[in-house]
Amino acid sequence: MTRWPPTRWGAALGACGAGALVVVLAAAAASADGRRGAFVFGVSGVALLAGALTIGSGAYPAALCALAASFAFSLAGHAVDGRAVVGAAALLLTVDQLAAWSFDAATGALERGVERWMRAVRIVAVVVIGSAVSRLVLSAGDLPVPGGFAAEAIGIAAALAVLGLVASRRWER
Amino acid sequence: MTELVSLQRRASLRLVALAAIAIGGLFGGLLAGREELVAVGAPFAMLLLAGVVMAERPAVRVRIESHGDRVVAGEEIHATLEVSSTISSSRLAVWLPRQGHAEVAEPADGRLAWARRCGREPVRLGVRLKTTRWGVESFGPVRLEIGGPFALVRWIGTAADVAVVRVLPDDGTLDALLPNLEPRAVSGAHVARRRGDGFEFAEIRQYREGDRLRSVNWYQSSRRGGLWVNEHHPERSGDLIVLVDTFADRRPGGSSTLERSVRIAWQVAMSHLDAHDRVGVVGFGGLPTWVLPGGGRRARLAVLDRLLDSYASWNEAQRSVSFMPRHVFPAGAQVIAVTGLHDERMVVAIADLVRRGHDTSVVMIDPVEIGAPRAKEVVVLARRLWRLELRERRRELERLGIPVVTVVGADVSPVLALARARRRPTRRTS
Repeated sequence: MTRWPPTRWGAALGACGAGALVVVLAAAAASADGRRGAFVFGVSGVALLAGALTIGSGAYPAALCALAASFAFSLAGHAVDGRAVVGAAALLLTVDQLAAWSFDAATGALERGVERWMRAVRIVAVVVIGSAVSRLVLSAGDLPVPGGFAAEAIGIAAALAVLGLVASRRWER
Repeated sequence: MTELVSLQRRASLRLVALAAIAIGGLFGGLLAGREELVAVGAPFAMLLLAGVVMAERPAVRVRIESHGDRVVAGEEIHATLEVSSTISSSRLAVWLPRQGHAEVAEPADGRLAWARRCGREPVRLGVRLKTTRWGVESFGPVRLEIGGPFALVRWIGTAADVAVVRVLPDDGTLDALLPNLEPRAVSGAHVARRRGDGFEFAEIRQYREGDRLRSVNWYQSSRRGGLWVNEHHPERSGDLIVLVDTFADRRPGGSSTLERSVRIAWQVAMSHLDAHDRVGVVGFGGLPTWVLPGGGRRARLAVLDRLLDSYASWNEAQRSVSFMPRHVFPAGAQVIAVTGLHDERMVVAIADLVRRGHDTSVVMIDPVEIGAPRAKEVVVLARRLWRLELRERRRELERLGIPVVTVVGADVSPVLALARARRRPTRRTS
C-alpha cells in the first residue's frame, strides 16, 4: 500500500475539517425550514470531499458545490448575519485551497522546507483577500443602487460576458 | 544540452467547481434577491478571473547534466537538473524518473520529485546518488508541470533528455594475474616457457657462439671452467577469455550471484588488460553474447559494456561453445569461467573448452548461501540435494583436471589462490 506523504495527509484533513465547519456554520445559521437541507447537503459535501481527496479527484466539483449549497439553504426564510456569510466564504476558500494542496501532494512532487511555508502563507493570503472581497460585496449590497432587477441582471451578465470573452481569448493562445 | 519542452495545457477540475460556485452565487443571488449568495460567489469569481485570464503559456527549457559519465561502485553520482521558464509560477513540479540500483542521498527524503516556485532565473535541482553495485544508472526523461495562477490551469510536458552514468565494478582487490601457459609473441607480463630475452632467470648453459657477453655468468664460469651463460624466460602477453555464466541469477538475501560473477570477471579482465593481455568476454546462458579478445582502451570499454549489459536468461535450448564462432576462443587462449554451476550445460561447455586444448580454470560462486535459515523440512531436504548436485558438478570438473576455486561473498582472494595454484615452475635446475 502506498504511503501518503504527510503534506497530503495534513492538507486533506484540513480540507475536510474546514468542510465540516461549513456544515456546522450553515446548520447554526439556518432557520428551522432550511436546517435539514443544509445538513443533508453539508454531510454529502463532506463525504464527497473525503472521497475526492482519498480515491480520486472526480467528485471534487460536486463536493464543493454541495458545501456551498449547504450554506445557501441556511439563507432560506430569514436574514443571516454578515459575519457568518464572510465566514462561510472564507471556509469554502480554505476547503478549495487545502484540497488543491492535497491534490498536488498526491502527485509526489512536494514542497520542501521554506517552500512549504510559502504555500501555507499563500493559502492564508487567498483566504484573507477572498474574505475581504466578500465583506466588500456585502457592504456594496447595502448601498442604494438606482435601477431594478433587470439592470442588475444586465450588469452581471455583461461582467460575465467580458470575463468569458477575455478568458476564451487567453485559452485559445 | 538545454531542451525546449513541448507543453500541453490542462484545466484543473477545480476550475469547474469554482466556475459553478461563482456563476451559481452571482445569478442565484440575483434571482433570489440575496446579496449573501453574491458575497459567497464573488471571491470564487475573483479566483476564476485571476486563474484563467492571467494564465500565460510558458516556454520551458530543461537541462539534465551528470558530473561525469562513469563512476566506480561505492562512489557518488552527482547530477544537476536545470529548469528555466519564461514566466514566473508559484508551482513548478518536476519529476525525475530513474533506473538503477543506487540509493538516493539527496534529496534527503529519497524522492526525485520537487515542487518549487520559479521565476525568470533558472531553477537548479541537485541530485546525489550513492552507488552500491555496478550497473547503469539513468536519469530522465524529466516530466514537469508548471501551474498558472492559483493552479487552475497547468502546462504539462516531458523532456526527452536522458543522462546515463555507468557504475563500474570495484577493481581494487585483485593484484595477481592468471599465468598464461601459451603466451603470444607480443611483449607482456606472462613468463613464457621458452628461452629468450627477459627478466625471469631460467637456467645456465655453456657459452655458444653468438651469445652476448653480458649474459656470461662469471661466478659459475670460474667454478665450472669454461664460459657459462644465463638464460631467461621472455615476458609475453596472452589471450584471456572470461566466461560468465548467465544461465541463472540467484539472489539469496539480496546478494546476486550474477552481480558477483560480473564483478569478479571485471576484476580479472582489468588486471589482465593492465598487463597488456588481450581479453575477451563470453556471456554463456540462455542468450550467449561475446566480445572478441582485444587489448587497450577500446577493449576495456567493450568488455565493460558487455559486462554491464549482463543479465540472466534461461531457456531449454541446446547451448554449447561449439555453436560459437571459433575465433571467440582463439587457439592458446586461457579461459576462466565464473559460474555458480547452476546449469549442467555450463559444465559441458567448460569440459568442451578443455578438450579443445584451452587452459581452463573455474571460479565457482559460492552456493552455500542458498536459502534462508528457517525453512520447512522438505525445503531443507531439497537444498541438501541441490548442494549435492553442485558438489557433483564441481567434482566432475576436477576429475577433468580443471582447477576450481570457490568465492564466498565479496571476497575475491580465492581467485588469487587460483593464480598461485596454476603457476607452473618455470625455473629448472641444470
